[in-house]
Amino acid sequence: MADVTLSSIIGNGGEKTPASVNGLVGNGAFSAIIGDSLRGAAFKESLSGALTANTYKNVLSIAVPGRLLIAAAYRRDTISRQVGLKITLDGVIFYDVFDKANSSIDRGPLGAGIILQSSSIHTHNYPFKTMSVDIKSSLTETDKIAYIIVYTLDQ
Amino acid sequence: MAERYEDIIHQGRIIGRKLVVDPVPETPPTTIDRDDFIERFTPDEWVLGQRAAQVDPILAQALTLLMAKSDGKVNLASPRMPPVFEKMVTLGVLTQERSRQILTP
Repeated sequence: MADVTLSSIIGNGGEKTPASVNGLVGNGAFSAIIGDSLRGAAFKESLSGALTANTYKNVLSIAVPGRLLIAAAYRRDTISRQVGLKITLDGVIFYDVFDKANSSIDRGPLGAGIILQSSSIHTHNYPFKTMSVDIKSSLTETDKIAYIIVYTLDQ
Repeated sequence: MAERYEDIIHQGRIIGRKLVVDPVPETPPTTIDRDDFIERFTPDEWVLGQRAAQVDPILAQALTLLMAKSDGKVNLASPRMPPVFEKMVTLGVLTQERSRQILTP
């Protein structure tokens, strides 16, 4: 009988990295206002910096196993535009949503994590061996797109 | 705005990179609401200023003109502002330091 290690039963060894997430707000759909809740939960907001219109820009790449808890991108002003978020886990595009153009501040795609109306936040727990996160806008941007990514890295 | 990629170090080795964007420090507005302008004075300073204006018509007129804009805004950077505040310093309403503080956006 082959050795069975604990890590093969629980933890990263026993879980598969998801290939896709289904049932969330999809491409071209009206996304939710999420930025205020995430900041209220003391998650660290980062700025996109310069973006070329309709072009993804990588904001995070990880090459060791870990878990994705929260991933979101959203608007920081009231100029109408689309915002996109792409999450690649283990080389497979897990989430890729370019939302419907709108002008609401703090609105944008949420690829991991659940926010309830009362601002209660639940994290997902997606295991990965490598992860890459990209964001984009339908406009050329300076710093008016923000994102929050919360993840853990394995020991 | 400065932006760069920083290495992510995990257990002593580089395991990835992340974008880091330094936000541009926001310049405070030089035009503020009239109420906010008044709040910059202590109650004693405000009373002293009103009393000084009662006996100094030039100061009274200058203060009225500076604060009587129809949009309810006061422009701290107006070139007309420093002479009025120098007058208040001369009259003992404000110290030089308080004058500088009140006019700082």
